[in-house]
Amino acid sequence: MTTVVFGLGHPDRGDDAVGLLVADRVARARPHGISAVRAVEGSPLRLLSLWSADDRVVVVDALRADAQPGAIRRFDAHAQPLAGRPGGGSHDTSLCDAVELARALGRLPRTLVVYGVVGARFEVGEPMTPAVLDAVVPTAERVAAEAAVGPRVGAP
Amino acid sequence: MTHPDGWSRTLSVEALARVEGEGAMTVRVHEGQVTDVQLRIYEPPRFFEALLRGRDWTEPPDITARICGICPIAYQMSACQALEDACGATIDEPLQALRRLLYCGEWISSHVLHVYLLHAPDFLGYDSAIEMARDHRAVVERGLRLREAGTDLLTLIGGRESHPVNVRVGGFYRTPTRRELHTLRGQLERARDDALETVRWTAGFDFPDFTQDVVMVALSEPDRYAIERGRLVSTAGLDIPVAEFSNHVTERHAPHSNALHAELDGGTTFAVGPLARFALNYDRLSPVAREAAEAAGVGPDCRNPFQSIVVRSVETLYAIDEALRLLDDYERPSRPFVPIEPRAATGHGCTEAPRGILYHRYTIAADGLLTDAVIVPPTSQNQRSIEEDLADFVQARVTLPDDELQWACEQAIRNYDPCISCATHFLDLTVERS
Repeated sequence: MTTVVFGLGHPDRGDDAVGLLVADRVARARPHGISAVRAVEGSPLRLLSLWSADDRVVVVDALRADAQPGAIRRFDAHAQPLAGRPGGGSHDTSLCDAVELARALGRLPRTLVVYGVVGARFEVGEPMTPAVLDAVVPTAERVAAEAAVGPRVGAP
Repeated sequence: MTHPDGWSRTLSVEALARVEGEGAMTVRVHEGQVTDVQLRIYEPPRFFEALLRGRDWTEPPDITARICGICPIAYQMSACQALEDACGATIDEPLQALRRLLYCGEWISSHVLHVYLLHAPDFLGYDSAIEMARDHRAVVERGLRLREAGTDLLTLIGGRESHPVNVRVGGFYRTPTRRELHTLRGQLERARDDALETVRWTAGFDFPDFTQDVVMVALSEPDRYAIERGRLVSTAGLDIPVAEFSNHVTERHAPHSNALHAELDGGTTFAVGPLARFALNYDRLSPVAREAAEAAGVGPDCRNPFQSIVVRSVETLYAIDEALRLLDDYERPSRPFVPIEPRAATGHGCTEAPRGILYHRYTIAADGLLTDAVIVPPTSQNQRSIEEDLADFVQARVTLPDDELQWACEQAIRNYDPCISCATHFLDLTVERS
């Protein structure tokens, strides 16, 4: 079984671009076990029609959290709900909203792991924080490793 | 805590939910009277206008599309129209029709997002669409299906769903074949049925008894429901070409907001958006949309902003019906774009974004670089109307407990489908009783 990787974000809103950069990095590396890599600049709601029930999915997005910029967080969506502020993110609905909507509709994929990279700047035209840029390669490596062995359900 | 006499308080809503973007709202009540309502918007204004100065005249469609993930087509269409106006270009009618078809995709996608996921939970007593989906799965699935009909249309013509890349000054980089477009026909036919059901569904909601006495402004065309072009008209008798926009609409800075407040003709508050379009262009809806509106009990005299959800549903039905008509009439244009040479001039563009009229003005220098850019998005035009609505709405409910009043205020703001990302960016909400 292969894994589908989605990178979410907005290329012009500072650290919000990190998901797109990680997806690009993963796509270039073409690691074993990944069948497709897609950048989603628009609504995360689109994910509901891009993944299917039998897919193994990894999603990468920027994260607002009380932590150091560049910190990488891993969430297993089947193990716990994704708790986010309503409408958070520069997308029309947040990734958390989209995932929880999918859960309510019974449309989560077989496995769904979310990697969040903590960002600090999300305003239009701002440059990315250096620490967030530095997190692109290690996040891509973790995504590739995830695909190689399969998502570790319940892992921290 | 209840307030039997409404006495004095401040209702502060920080992190206003289910609006596109974020901002803040403060309502101040003193001795039972609403003394102040402020919709605060934080994002540094005019970033994009400044960014555009000194750029090449062909760049605004791609750059301004980045302002909003919900209505990038509106930005591209208003930008193209303004630049083509400056250059004295006339766009081939088949290309205009393709632009209108693309715009229909955005109306469908944007309206459905708001109706199903942002606004309907208010009327059904849910905090979010996620909670609503647990009890109304089939309804939410219908909404997602409908929205996808719009995004698929956007993706096919625009090149991708978000921040489309296929639009350019003069037309498109590539026009789709008739065969490509017709792959969407079956999906749009099903969507038309879903949209009709959506009108019936929203018409059954309970609406607060509240009407808005405000001048309404929209584009208008003689023979069809205006979307991508037209003259500016109002319920107060305004009837002007787009080039005169700045002679009648002025913007002033409100100290509490980074977004500018727009006024009509020396201080009149006005509103733009679905209710305005409905008021001014109702008789130009397609028969199926007009029949659905009549059955739903909404007409051109609708002045209850809470019923905007029904009007958006009718407009969704219209956009699908119009898309099917355009699709059936479509023949691939003889050329994808009209070649245009820049010239030193100023041009104006205005189109109907899902939330209302979006005005662009650009000045091009002889070397083809932009020396000035002005963008007036619909949410900043509606900002004063939203604040005045809130003042009236809160005054009639001033004895409600804070939590109920806050809920009512948020719902009233959502009537306008405010796109804070366009007006600026993040919004948070506060009610003070002092």
